[in-house]
Parts: sequence; structure tokens; C-alpha cells
Amino acid sequence: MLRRNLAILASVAALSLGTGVATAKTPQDQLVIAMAMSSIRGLDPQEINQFEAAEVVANLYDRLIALPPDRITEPQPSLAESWTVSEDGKTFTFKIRQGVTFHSGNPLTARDAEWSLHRLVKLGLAPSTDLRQWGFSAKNVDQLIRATDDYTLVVETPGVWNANLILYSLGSFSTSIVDRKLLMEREKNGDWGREYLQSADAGSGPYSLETWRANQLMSADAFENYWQGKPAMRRVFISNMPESSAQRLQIDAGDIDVATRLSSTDLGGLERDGKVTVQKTPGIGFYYLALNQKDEILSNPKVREAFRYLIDYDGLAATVMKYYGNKQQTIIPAGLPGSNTENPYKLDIDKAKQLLAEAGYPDGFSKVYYATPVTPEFEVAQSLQANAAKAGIRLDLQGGDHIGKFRNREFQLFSARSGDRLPDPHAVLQSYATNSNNSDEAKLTGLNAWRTAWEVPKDIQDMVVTAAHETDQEKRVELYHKINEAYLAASPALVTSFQRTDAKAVRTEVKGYVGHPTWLTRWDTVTKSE
Amino acid sequence: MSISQTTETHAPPSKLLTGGKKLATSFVVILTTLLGLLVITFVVGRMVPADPVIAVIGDQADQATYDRVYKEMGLDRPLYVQFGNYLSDVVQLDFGQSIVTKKPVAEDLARVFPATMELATLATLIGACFGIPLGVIAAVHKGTWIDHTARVVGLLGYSTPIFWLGTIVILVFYAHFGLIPPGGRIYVYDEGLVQARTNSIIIDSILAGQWQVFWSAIHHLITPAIILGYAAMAYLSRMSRSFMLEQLRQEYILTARAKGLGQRPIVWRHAFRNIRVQLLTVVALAYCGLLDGTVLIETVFAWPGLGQYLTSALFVSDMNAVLGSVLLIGIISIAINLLSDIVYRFIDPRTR
Amino acid sequence: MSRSGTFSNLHNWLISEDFSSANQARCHKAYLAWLSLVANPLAFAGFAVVALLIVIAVFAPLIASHDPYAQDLMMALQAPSAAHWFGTDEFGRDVFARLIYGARTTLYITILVTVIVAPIGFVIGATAGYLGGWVDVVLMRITDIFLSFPSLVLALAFSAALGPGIENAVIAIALTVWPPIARLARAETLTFRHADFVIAAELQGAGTGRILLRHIVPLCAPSIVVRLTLNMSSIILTAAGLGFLGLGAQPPMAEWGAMAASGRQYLLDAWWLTTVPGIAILTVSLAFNLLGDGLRDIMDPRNG
Repeated sequence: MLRRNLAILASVAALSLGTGVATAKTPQDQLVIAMAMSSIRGLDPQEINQFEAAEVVANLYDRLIALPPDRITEPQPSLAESWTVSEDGKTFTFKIRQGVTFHSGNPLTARDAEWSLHRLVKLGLAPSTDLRQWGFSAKNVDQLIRATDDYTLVVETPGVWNANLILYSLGSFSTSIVDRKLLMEREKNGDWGREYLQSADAGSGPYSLETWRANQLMSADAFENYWQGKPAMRRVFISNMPESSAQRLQIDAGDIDVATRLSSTDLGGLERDGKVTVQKTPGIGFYYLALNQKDEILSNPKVREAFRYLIDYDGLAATVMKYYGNKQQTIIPAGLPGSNTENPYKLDIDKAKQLLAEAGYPDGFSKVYYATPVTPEFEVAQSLQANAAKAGIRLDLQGGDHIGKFRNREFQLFSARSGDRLPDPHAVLQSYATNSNNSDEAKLTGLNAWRTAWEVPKDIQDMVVTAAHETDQEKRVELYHKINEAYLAASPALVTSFQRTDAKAVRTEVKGYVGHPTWLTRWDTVTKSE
Repeated sequence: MSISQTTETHAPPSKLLTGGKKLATSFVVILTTLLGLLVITFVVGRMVPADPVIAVIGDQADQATYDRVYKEMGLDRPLYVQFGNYLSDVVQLDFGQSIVTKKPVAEDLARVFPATMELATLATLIGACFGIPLGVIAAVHKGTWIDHTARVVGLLGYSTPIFWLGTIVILVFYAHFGLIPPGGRIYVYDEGLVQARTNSIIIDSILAGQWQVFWSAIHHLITPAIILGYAAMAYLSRMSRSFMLEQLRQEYILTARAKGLGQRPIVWRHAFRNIRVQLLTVVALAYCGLLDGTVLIETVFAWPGLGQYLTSALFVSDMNAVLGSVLLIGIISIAINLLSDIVYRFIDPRTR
Repeated sequence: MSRSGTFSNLHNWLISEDFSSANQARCHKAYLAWLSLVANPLAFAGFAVVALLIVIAVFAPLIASHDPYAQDLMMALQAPSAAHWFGTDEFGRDVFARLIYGARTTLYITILVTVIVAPIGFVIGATAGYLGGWVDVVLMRITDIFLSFPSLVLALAFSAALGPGIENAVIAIALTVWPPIARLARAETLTFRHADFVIAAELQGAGTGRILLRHIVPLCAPSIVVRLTLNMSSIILTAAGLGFLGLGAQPPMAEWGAMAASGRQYLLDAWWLTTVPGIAILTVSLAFNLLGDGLRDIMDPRNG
């Protein structure tokens, strides 16, 4: 009996192996992207808050403004053909492109644009910061953002801001233009079609959603009537593949075209083999360490300074962070106005010990340290833990989802990485360097500085606010240089070690897939060579 | 591996229905067990350290949004009210909404469970086809090298970390030899070729007559199923060995031997016939145990089933999804145990 | 007297059934068990590995050539060599040293779980069996509820609730291990419940606790020990599974499951990272199974 079963199994196995195409290539006119999809929570552009989902939304929808990946700070026309800014810098008038249709067939007008922006502000979900930070609110938005006719949209800002900040905001995924007519039909209990949009598409972008299975699979088809012409890739798949080694094996075998979640070792291995190009896209964010200032020990400036000497910048840069970040100890991301390449700190246990002794803790101390157990964040945390131990600081590292505790100031040490959506220093500075009210009751939970309970030096805060309102670009750049220096010298409670970069491996025959710093990577520019 | 040896105590497994108790009592028993399951999942759900509200609204939302959602989720009410709500929701098959898929958890479970069932069913089949003969042969050759080999093979199955074995198999057979697919249920570009009717891709592809997809599905299924099947085989061979030994000691076997019947007919016609019923219940238990194994193996093989759904929900603190899955697994276990009990009573003349 | 003479005298004393003291009788029993363990090569192999594990765990600092926690990023992912027998991991730590220290973690978890579970399982099971009635019904109902979950899933849910960490993993695993012990203890207790010596003790006015402790415990002990030994391997595997999912030991602690899991990230460049701890888990868990199997043969020949 055993023998017979063996024979049966062997033949079944042989048959299935024989018919299998284990090293199948992806078809010429289709693009397969591997992602860790578990972080994608729905596809509503006015609700999502995360870069994997942003890439999908970027292709299902268009925005008024385009920010090309290679000239990220120069706003280009998209659904808005052109725009003017009033003398006082407060009124923006957009001319909406004619002849654009949604995937549903409905024509796209200024009314849709108006409705979409109202939707963002009034839903008030995470990405609504993109407009709310300029003073828009559910109360004033009806008045301030309005379509004056079918092809004209007027946006008035409550205060004077640098015009670029407003335009960047209108190029963010959160300001994607949605199909008003379709969503009003799908509306349930005044939810602005929110339930429907979780797993559907109401856009006018180059791709229309075909299949959406959360945590498993997405497929989207090229949109015939796209206003810039039908894209070359007939169909794009996103396949859930959370493991780095699986992604590497499959991109190596040609089972996928783009891999987005690879460890530095695997990226290094792939680059050596030469079948893929590795893109390292700098993002608007940092790997940071937050030291809670409500803690007596951690609020000592010397202790804060000591931590800057406990990070193995060079060791990490050569290994785990090789593709995930660029060493940076200042606060303005490289490539933006005001940034510099100054990196005065390096791993120095003795120096750290000396600082700790000066602070009155020659024998160190024990603290609980929260970090997210994903690569490379957890490796960075473990490295700090080991170095701190050498200086006498015993860190009880606890992996897990601790963001809620960070928001409520219920932590001692916390590290993570941040990512902002506006290609402007203000996006980062607002969170890292402003904290207008440091009391627990203020609940400025969106700001990293408040979460860390850090009383940011007044002069830095003032400069950040002034710079955002400054309309003269030269003066602005000068201010940002100053802020950058001041922040570095302030022994901040938010210690930055690396500028975030997002690494993607792309097979060499795939052209035109370009990683985007604010996560708006497009598929309509992709072609495949033989 | 994960079929804990503890289940050995339940052969014959009358853990839900004992002896001659009436149907009504057993109904109460099942109800209390279910209630117990619910209490456990509810308690677990309240104990979770991650903030359920943040999980819904995201990291950067402001306090007003937070407070509103906190209320919407009913978290401001007393615990017993929350449990009451939970109970009435579950009775209506409402396990809440998953924060990842943004869909009702019940709907998600209906989608992912067939994939797990495909895997567990084939694995049980493999385990039974190899494990039972192996156990019987070992019993017949008790004390010889055959028995010892069978014992080591069986214990190895108990002792192997299944996620590790899966990893090694992928490394060797996909990365080095290119013989097996790397994981998943079918090749991604075969997606959308068949209409999802039962959510079992094997059945769906047969219904649609899409043989290419069918073979692709089998091809993807076979490796994880063999690995899981090995664990089931280990368990089943050990159980069938001990059942068989019991039978071989019985008087009627000695009588048959005395009559001059050959070894083969004695073992397969007489002794095996008598352990069939016991085996059936053990196979059912093996099936339950495999639900455990799928949790890990699905993660390794990117198999979009219940196990992967559960673990990925766990990582992002999607507690509705986690508890829904745990509850489903618990209910299935109860149901299978119950079913095997009923079958046992119907088939086994001694209990009738 | 020669050495071998001493041993053979000892052997004779131990093997003799003309007991001159209760102590000799006890030693005799243990010695016979030992002899049958040695006679069973598989069980003995299991015993040897477990003994080795204990020795390694106790003398870990002496055996390991490197500090298991010392990082050196410049030495990350080195292949096995004379300096690093099993290579280095992603932080440049010596894998051999971590493997050795990992033995401590494994032993720590199994012992702790066992120590928690044995008394709890026994008390619940024996109380249910001894008192009977509604106490029995309620306790067994609770036991069944826990039993109805597959063990890993239950442990997973609890460690998710308690948060990651080795102590929490121990609690979560213990929650899944006690029910079968309780069932066994109950079954054993039932067989002794109406034995003459129990009745006699009751008549003498001994309390429930005293009867359980003095009379029931010694009788149940052998079968519970066998079951616990067999359970060790499932404890190890569950712990490894939790470690694999990131819910077990937290860094920088060396734990085999977590090592195998984090090594998977570097599978293609550093096969040793996941292979070595995996083999360690397999070996130890197999050893416990072989030992437990052997013990059962010895103590409970019916199923042999």
C-alpha cells in the first residue's frame, strides 16, 4: 500500500512539475510589482497615509499639479492646465483641462476638483493635514475653495504662505481628483462615498482598478481614454510578497519586474548579478530617535548629546542602511533648500561616557526602548542597543506597534522613520521643530516635537513659521540654512541619523519606472525592451 | 510538528460528548464551549497593547478625530456592555471590519478560508495515505528495524520546525533547482482568468475549464501540502501503530492465526477493519492540528489563506481580523471534533 | 578492592530484590529504569542530547569562544570559518556563541513552562477528579474550551495580547499546555479515587489537600512526567514559532526561533544563519521526543 501510494504521489508530482513553468517570465505588456501589501489600508486617496497605497492612488487618479520625480520642486501642469497667483499671494486661480474623462465616462470638471478638496478637508482624516495646515477647515473650506465655472477653480488661502507650499499640496496624492457624480451615487449615510472607495476607484488616471484583494493582489488595466494617451503596459499587477528573499528570488527568475521590499543584503546581491537596477530614491523624511523630555534623565542636554555618539553611522551606512538611507545628522533633507552635508558626529563610546559622567550618570541607567520590528528599523535599533550597553545604558528593546504610545507621550525611547509628502523643508520642520504648546492638554499629537515633549527653542520655532510665510525664495533659503545650523546645535530630543531613501529593484528590461520622492511613482511611463 | 501530542489522549475522542449523555446536554456543552471561546477572544482583544483607534485613523490624525473614532468604536462604554455588543455582533456573524482590508472580517474569512482548506485537505490526504500504512507496518514488525525507522521518521515529523523546513525547501528546490514555484497560489498573471465562484481555485478552474490555471494551482499547492502532510503523517503513523498493536493483542487475531490465516489477510482484513473508525477520528484531529501548521507554512509560502490573514493582521494590530480568525479556527475545531464523535457513534457498534 | 569490584558490588546491591531498606527499594526502581533506558538506544540517544543541552546551557560562557552580544557591523555575514565556526550574523555577532547561549533560552522556556504547568494542571485535574460533581463539570468545561483551540493559534492570540517578550511567551505557551495535563491528572485520579488507601485516609480525617498531596501525587507523577517530557518538544516548537513571528524573545537575547526567523532575511547570502538554529531546534526537540517515548515504554509498557 505504501509503495503504491508513493508511486501515485510521484507521478502526480512529476506531472505537476512537468507542466509547471517554474521560471516563467512576466508577459511583455504587463508589469508585476512585488510589495508588502499589509500596510495598504484601502484605496481612498483622501484617507490613505502610506507610501505603498500612495503608488496605487498615484496611478488611478490625477491631480491638479504634477511633480515630476526628476524636478520634484518645480510644479508642472496636470489636470490644471495653468494657474495664476494674485498680487497678495492669497488667491490661486486654476484653469482646468477640458476633455478629460473619468474611468466611469463622466467628464472631469472644476466641480469635481472642488468636491475632492472639500472631501479631503471635511473627512478630516490623516492626509487632510495637507490642506488643514494652511488654515483650511471644515467651516471655511466651502467659501475658500470654489469652482466659479466648469473649468475654473479658485483657491483662497486663509493666510499668506509661500506659493510653492500650496502648489506642492495640490500635487500630493491626498488631493487626487475623484469622480463626484459616481461617488454621490455610491454615498451611504453622508459618508462621501468613503465605504465604496476603500476597494474601488473613482479616478481619471492612466490605470483603472480591475481586481483588489487586500493583502493579496491588485490588478489595474490601462485606461483607453487617458488624456495623455493609453499607457504601454496593458495591465499592472501588485502581488503581496512580504519577504525579502522571496522577492529577490522571483525578480532574479523574472517572475516579477519590480521588487520594493528588499533587505540591503539582497539588494546588494541583486546589484552584483546585474539583472536589475537598484533605485535609491531619497525621501522627505528621516530615521530618528525620540527621547522623551518628560523623563528626567533623558531631558538632560548632555544625555541627549551622548546619544548622538552612540549611533554607528558608518557601520550602518555600510551594511543595513546601505540602500535605505543616507547618513544625515541635520534636519533639512538633502536636495531641499537650506540643506547641508555637515555630519559632525560619529560613533564614539568614550565621548558618550564622558558626557554621561558630566551629566551625573557615570554608571549609566536603564530605559525601555520601543521600535518597530521591520527591516531596517529594527536593525538600527539593535545596533543602538548594543552601543548604548557599552556606555552603560541598558536599553530594554521592545519590538511591536508602539506608535500609539509615542503619540500619547507614554514612552522613554522610541525610534522609527518619518516620511512627508511635500518636497519642502517646511514639511519636516513643522513636525520636528515646532511645538507651540508643550502641555499634555494641548494634544498636538500630529507633531513629533510635541510627542517627544520637547520645548523646541523659541528662536527655531519662530524662524520655521517665518520661513513658511516668506514669499521671497532667496530669503527663505537663507532662513532654512540658519534653522538647520540652529537645530544641529540644539542637541535636539529628536536625533536624526539617516535621511530616508526608498530602495527598489527594477529588472533591466523595464524602462521608465522611476521611484518618486513623495511616492507618486507612475506606471504609464513604463515600457519593456526585448 | 504542531499537532500536539496531547491529542493522543482523545482516541477515541469523546471530549465533547461522553458516553450516553443526551443530545440536549451535548448541545449545552457546545454552547458553553462556544461562549468560552468568545470570552477568550474578547479578553484577548481588550488586552492588546496597541491602540485600536490609531490602527484605524493612522498616526498623524489630530485629537478631535481620535476622540470621535474612539466613541464610534464604543470604547468609552463599560466592559460588560462591550462584551454584550461583541456577543450580539458575533451571533449575527459580524466580526467587525478589518482595518487593513476595510471589509467585514466575515467576508474576508469566507474569501481566505477555502485556500487554507485546499491546503489542509491535501495535506491530510497525503498524511493519511502514507502515515496509516507506515503505522500498521511498524506495528506488525514491532521491535524490528522497520519499527525503529518508522518511529524515528514519525518523531522527526513531530520535531521539525515547519517554518524552517519550508524555508529550506524553497531555498533548495526553487532557488537552486527551479523545480517548484516560489510561493503563492497561482502565477500572478494567471489571475483573473477564472471567475471566483467557490474561492477554491482548484474547483473554480475545473468549473471554468481552465486547465492551465488548474495545473498552475496544483503545482503551487503540492509543496506546502507535502510539508504539512509530513507533520500529519508523523502523527497518523504513530496513532495507527498503537491502535494496531492493541488489535494484534486481541483474542480473535490469535484465533485467526491458529486457523492458519496468512499475515496479510489478518492484518488488513481483520485488524485494520477494526481500527478504521478510530482512525477516522484521529484523521479528523490531524486536520484540526494542521490548521495550526498552516499559520506558519502560509507565511513561508505566501499562501493567501487563513493563516497568512491571521499573521499579517497580527503584525498591524488588526484585532478584529485576528480575533475573527482565531474564533473561526476554534469553531472549526469544535465542529470537526463533534462531527468525528457523531460518526464514531454511528459506525462503531459498541457505542450504539 | 578494585574499581570494577566496587561497581559490581553496587550493581548487585541495586539489582537485588532483598531490600534491606525503603531507600534501597527506591534506588532499585530507579536503577532498573536507568538500565532499560540504556538498553533502548533511541531513548538513550535522546537522553544524551538532553543532558548535553543542559551541560551546554550551564557552561555556556566557558564553551562560547565569543561574546554572543558583541556587534561588529564590519564583520557582518561572514561565512563559517576557523574564527567563527558557524559564521557571523547581520550584526557581525558570532553565530556559534549565540547558538550556545540560545540553549539557555530554550532550556529556560521549557523549564519555566513546565514548572508553571505541572502544578496547575495537576491541581485542576486532580481536584476535578477527586471532588467530582459540579466542580468536575466546571473545571473540565474550562479545560475543554482551551483544548478546542489549536495550541499555536491560542499561544499566538495570547502573546499578541500580552505583548512580545520571553516572559509573555512563556505565559502564553503555558496557557496552551496545562489542559492536557489536567485531563491526564483527572483520569489518573479517577482510577485511584476509590482505592482502599484513599478511603482509609479519608476515614482518618485527612483533608482534601493532604490526600491529593500525599497519596494522589506520587501515583500520578510517573505518567505526568512522561507527558511533560513529550510536551517539551511542542513547547520548544511553539516557542520557536512565536519567535519566528517576532512574538517571542526580544533582542538582543539569543533564541533559536528568532535566530532562524531573522536569518531568513539573509537566506541567499548567508544560509548558515537560518540553517544552524533550525537544526538545533530539530535536534533538541527530537531528543525530547525520543526520551519521552522511551520513558513511556519503560513506565507504561502497555503501549510499548
